[in-house]
Amino acid sequence: MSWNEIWDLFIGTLQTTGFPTLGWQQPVMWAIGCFFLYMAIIKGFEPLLLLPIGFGIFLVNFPNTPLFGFSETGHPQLLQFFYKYGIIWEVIPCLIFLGLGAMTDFEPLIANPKMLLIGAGAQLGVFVTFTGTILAGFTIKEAASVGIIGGADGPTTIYLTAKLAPHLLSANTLAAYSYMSMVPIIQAPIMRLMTSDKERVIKMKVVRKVSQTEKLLFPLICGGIIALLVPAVMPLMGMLMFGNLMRVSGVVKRLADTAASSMMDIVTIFLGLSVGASMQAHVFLTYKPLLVFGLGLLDFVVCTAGGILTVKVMNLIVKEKINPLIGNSGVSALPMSPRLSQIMGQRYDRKNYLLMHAMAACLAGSIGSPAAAGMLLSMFE
Amino acid sequence: MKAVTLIYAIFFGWMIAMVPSPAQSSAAGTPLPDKQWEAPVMPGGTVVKTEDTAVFIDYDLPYEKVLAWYKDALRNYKDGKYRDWNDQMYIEDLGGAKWHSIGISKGGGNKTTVKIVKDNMTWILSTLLIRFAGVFVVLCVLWILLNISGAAMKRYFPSQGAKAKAN
Repeated sequence: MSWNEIWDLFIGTLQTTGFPTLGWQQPVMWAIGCFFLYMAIIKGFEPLLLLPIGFGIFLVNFPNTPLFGFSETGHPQLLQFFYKYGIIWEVIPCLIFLGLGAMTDFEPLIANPKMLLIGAGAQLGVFVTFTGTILAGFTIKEAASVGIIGGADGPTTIYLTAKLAPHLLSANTLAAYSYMSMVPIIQAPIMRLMTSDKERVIKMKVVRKVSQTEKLLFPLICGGIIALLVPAVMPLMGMLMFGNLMRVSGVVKRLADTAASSMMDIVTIFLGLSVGASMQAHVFLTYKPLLVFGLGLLDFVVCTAGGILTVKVMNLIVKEKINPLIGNSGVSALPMSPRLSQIMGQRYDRKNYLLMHAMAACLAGSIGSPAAAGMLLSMFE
Repeated sequence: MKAVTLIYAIFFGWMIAMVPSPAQSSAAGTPLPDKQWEAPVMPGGTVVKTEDTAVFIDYDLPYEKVLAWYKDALRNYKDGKYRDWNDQMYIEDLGGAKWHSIGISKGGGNKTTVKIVKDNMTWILSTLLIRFAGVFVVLCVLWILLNISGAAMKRYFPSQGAKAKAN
């Protein structure tokens, strides 16, 4: 073997490595990936999602890795496959809603349906941010997808963004889940600012027990109403209600358990990796995804304020006063927001139990946020 | 209560401030531009009216020909939405263009008027207000139906209610 051949072999091998095409953007993305891994592992913020997202970011931002592109024969590579069939085809968000439905007990909301108004009021940020996002130079479709972040509903954000602005998917998803994990930091000061000492100690009646028939009727009524009024989000709401029907019927316990546990875990892995993988340097390191984080925060703040304001307005009308500390739960950040309402409530009165009422508001938010998404989608249909 | 009133005042004040001032119209006969607020303008027409937020152009051509020209001019523009109304074809921009809509009038025989409207916040704010109200409507309907079903359960199946209470 001549020296020329050895040199050629060496150069050829070197060119197949990632070094020749490595730019400054990739290390930046590794750092971002590692930041999310740090938040998940060390800080414990939404680890089920931030860990696969963080690792997905880390993996795809190495040059020449056959993970998120297409093979020479046109087949999607591994993570592209998950992304294409899971996210772009909108399968994963709907499956997550199926699992959520199977996990969720809607009893607090059925017992106190006026809480639905809080879920509607908390969508204020979605629409206010929409306007702000357009003023920031985004298109209407992009603005709609950014606006929905404030609803703090990950699957709905993914569903809407995949339909309207797929290039913002990673930024929107990440913003939605990041702010959900930061509920105590973001919401607590707003709750303190917007409520008086007198309001914080309002005691609410214990919610009534709900019969089995009412629980069975709920997915049918809710599914039917959403199907008639905002059919665009039925893939999400239909799955949520189906999951819930499996749970409350009691006759398919195995299916309900699988949907709530194993299926949910599997889908979460694919979701996290796909979203992380979509954050490639050339897509993510532009001004728009960075702006999304700022606008998403504003959105979340206004949604929280919207929920609290709605309670205050309701208190002008209803006989039995509602503690405005549960208004923050109108965003559907389950279980963080209701937990915060409970903690805050007990800080001002140790004998005040707000958890179930806040849960009702939060469940209302989980219906309100797809309804808002449906309203936005209907603009484009 | 003062804080609530203040927040509402700020919010609605901001919304009113976003609504543009009334349009001012200018005399007809302005030369025809190639583009108006980045929207394509079909040649051969006469500008009959110009406002701050809209331009009206008349063509001595049938509706179909004008529509065909605009469809061709916008064939690569994916964010245009066509609404076929009785009196006009309304092409609405759902992207980030500086124009909001192009209306092509129908039923004028060999005379067609094209109205190009500048992008404006009034449309965005009104559509958002309506949609926000829509979310309330959806959840209010659900609230009403849940109340009805709850009341019906209590009335027709009192035993179940008692059982639920006991649980």
